[in-house]
Amino acid sequence: MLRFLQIAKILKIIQLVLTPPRLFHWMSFLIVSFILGILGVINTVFKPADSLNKLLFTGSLICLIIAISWRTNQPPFVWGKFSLSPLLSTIFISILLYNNLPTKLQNTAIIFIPILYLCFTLLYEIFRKKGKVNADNIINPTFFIYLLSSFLFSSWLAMHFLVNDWLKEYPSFRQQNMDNSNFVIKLDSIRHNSRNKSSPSPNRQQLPSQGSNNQVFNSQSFISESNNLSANLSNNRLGSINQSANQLTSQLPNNSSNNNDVNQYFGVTILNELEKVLGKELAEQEYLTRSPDQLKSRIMSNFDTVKKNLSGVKEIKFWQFETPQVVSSASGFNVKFRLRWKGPKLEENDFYLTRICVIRPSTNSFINPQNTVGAIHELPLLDWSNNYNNSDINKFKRNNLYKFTPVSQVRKPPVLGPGCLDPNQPTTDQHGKLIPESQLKRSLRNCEKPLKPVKPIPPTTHIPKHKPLPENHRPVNEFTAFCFNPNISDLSKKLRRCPQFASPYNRHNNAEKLKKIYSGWNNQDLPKQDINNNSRLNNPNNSRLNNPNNSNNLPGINNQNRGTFNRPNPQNNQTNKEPFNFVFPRLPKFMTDFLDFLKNYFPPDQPNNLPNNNPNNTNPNDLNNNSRIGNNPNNNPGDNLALPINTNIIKCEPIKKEIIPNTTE
Amino acid sequence: MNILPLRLIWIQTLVLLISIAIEAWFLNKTSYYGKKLSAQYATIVNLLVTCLGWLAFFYFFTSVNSSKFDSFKETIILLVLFGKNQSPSFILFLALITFALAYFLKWQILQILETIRPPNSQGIPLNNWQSWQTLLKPKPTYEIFKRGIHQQIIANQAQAVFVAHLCTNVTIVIILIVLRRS
Repeated sequence: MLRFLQIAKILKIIQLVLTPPRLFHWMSFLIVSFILGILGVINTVFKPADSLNKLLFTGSLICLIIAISWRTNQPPFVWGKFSLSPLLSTIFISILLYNNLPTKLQNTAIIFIPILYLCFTLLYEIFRKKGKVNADNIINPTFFIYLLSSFLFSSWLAMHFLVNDWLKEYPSFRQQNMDNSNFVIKLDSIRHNSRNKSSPSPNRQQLPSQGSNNQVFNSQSFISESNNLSANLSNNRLGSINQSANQLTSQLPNNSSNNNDVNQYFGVTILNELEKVLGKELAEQEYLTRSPDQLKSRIMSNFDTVKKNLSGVKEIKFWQFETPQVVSSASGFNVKFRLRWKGPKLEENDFYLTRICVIRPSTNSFINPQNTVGAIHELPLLDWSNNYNNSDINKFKRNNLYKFTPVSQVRKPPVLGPGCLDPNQPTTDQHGKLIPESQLKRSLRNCEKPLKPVKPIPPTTHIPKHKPLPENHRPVNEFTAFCFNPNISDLSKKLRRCPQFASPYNRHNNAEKLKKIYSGWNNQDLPKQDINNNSRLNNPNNSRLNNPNNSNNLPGINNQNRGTFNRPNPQNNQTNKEPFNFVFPRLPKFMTDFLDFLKNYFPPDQPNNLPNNNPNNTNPNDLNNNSRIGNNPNNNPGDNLALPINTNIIKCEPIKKEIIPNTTE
Repeated sequence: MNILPLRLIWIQTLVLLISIAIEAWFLNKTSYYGKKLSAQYATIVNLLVTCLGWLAFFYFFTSVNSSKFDSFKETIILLVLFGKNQSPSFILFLALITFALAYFLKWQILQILETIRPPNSQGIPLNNWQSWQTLLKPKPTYEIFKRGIHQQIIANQAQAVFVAHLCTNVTIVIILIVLRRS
């Protein structure tokens, strides 16, 4: 009983403390804010995606702000005419606005702080005089002066944001010297000056003539440089270049205000973008059909694309792209891009930003077969009535009829020897019992060095082996419905529309059509085939082509008259020598799942670029990154899985700055 | 965010203080205003002109997107960021236009302030602001006759404001040159 009384007393005290003296009181707002906050938390727990949550929290915050401003308007927080209330209210309201306004309008929340402060001061005056306010008391010259002063403060804040907007439009200005300005001050330069106060400061406008990135422009040096670069590339010493590039970038001064830093210029972004656009185009096109002049014109047209891409930045008109110097070498073309600053003369000398690149055919040797696991996908059927020779096959390769999808950075799994058991396949022992998976894995550990590679297995498993394909099985879409329709005997139409029957010689006309057509193929509809071990073709039960009863075969196909390429030969499978020698080891299940995921996530008809060889480059969006030799310009790892054979690659050195000496001196 | 318009704030504060001081002195000497009222008027006039200037500046840079004005914008940007005067003739022209406009605005604002201020029957200007409500009341005709004395003062005000404005600008230019040299 005593305890109960004590508890009742405590509750009464709490009630007394928490109950506001009257309804319209700051404590009421505090309690409402508290209740709204609790409701918000409860609603968030049960309905995290509810739009009511934000409303509840915002309401809670507004009530809290009202309560705080009300409380701070009372004696302990008021000193004479000055009160803490308008200041706190302004700060809280600004924070609230800043968080709730869209990104574009967030600056306005900061810009209007002085005007908000004035409004709250007025409100404070009204509250202090308890509503007995005459217009004469407020609207007087002093009030006008306050109003205009707060507007002036707002203008200064707005000016700060305007200057930052200018620097977004003209990024190269950011790192320039602003000591001569009568309007702005650069904090970096203040720090820099205070640090180097003891040492005699050199002329700020003067550029150091010595430095790793500053070289006096010399057109003759380009040929020797490009020769060195091509020699390095031809010797497959890309790694060494990469190393030297890293060294160069590591030698760059850390102080961003130093003029030595090339990355300060927007031209670096332009050249990187040009490399990206050019690399994209070259990777999609065939090599060795262009002369240096044609290549020059292609590069110039690509620069127009870059200009369009970067048209949001006004500074681009200050950079003049000069006709690149192209030197053909044994391994490809060596190109020197030059970008000249044509804007306002902010430095003593004019200068170029230059970059030497090598354009050369990408071959399979570029992909290290020891480190890559590949899969052929989307192989179209061929017209077997033709006798294909090796040159035709090369043309197919150039025409992107076959794509090799390398997955870099994936370790090659051990190839299973004849004595080894595959853990992915249910295997029985001599007595017909299933061997448990753990035992199979143990057996796999023992076969690190297989005697000889096992028969390659096609990467796709979605065709059940035990179940023969139905006789009329075709991948069904509007295209195949036409191409495989035996009732349409007009071969000329089929030749025009169907890639199966397209002659390799009119591929230029069909290139666009083929792209559209291949994008229409559905992986699930079209069974994937291996180029050198086609299970469907090799299996007499499954193969449509080998089935003598199937009279509805492709027109013009004569089983007796097939070419040497990929001839299916079920009787003599081992002795069949194939033009390609790809080995497709069976991957662990998680890897195939991952590859399938990648393939589905990044369709294979995406622009074909180089695989990303450098996993350490963790900042793909950094356009100012200089050390990108051996890297894909577009560092998105998924975009670059498909690499066509015999297309082009572009490899570039870091960007350098070449000063043009003044001719007037 | 490492570039702040601190020099601008410092220089504009200096310019405003100088101009308010000079113009208040001129107002006090050339009209019947008392010291406090002339200081208040000078402050209001200068602050209002500055704010209108800022409004025009922000309007030009944020709302005028025509490519015709790009070169003007670049000139101003270079002047603000680097103190580089790319086309001195354009800047001089802009300065003259600003000078003329500022003078016109100051004169007009002072006239408005004069009309807002209720006339004193004794012909001596009031040192304190009277309520707006008295202004809104219809004035009897005899008061308009009495304002004839004030009209003469206002006619001379244009000249007085021009002299004050000129003096202010000359002083500011001299101070800026001295600051730049030092």
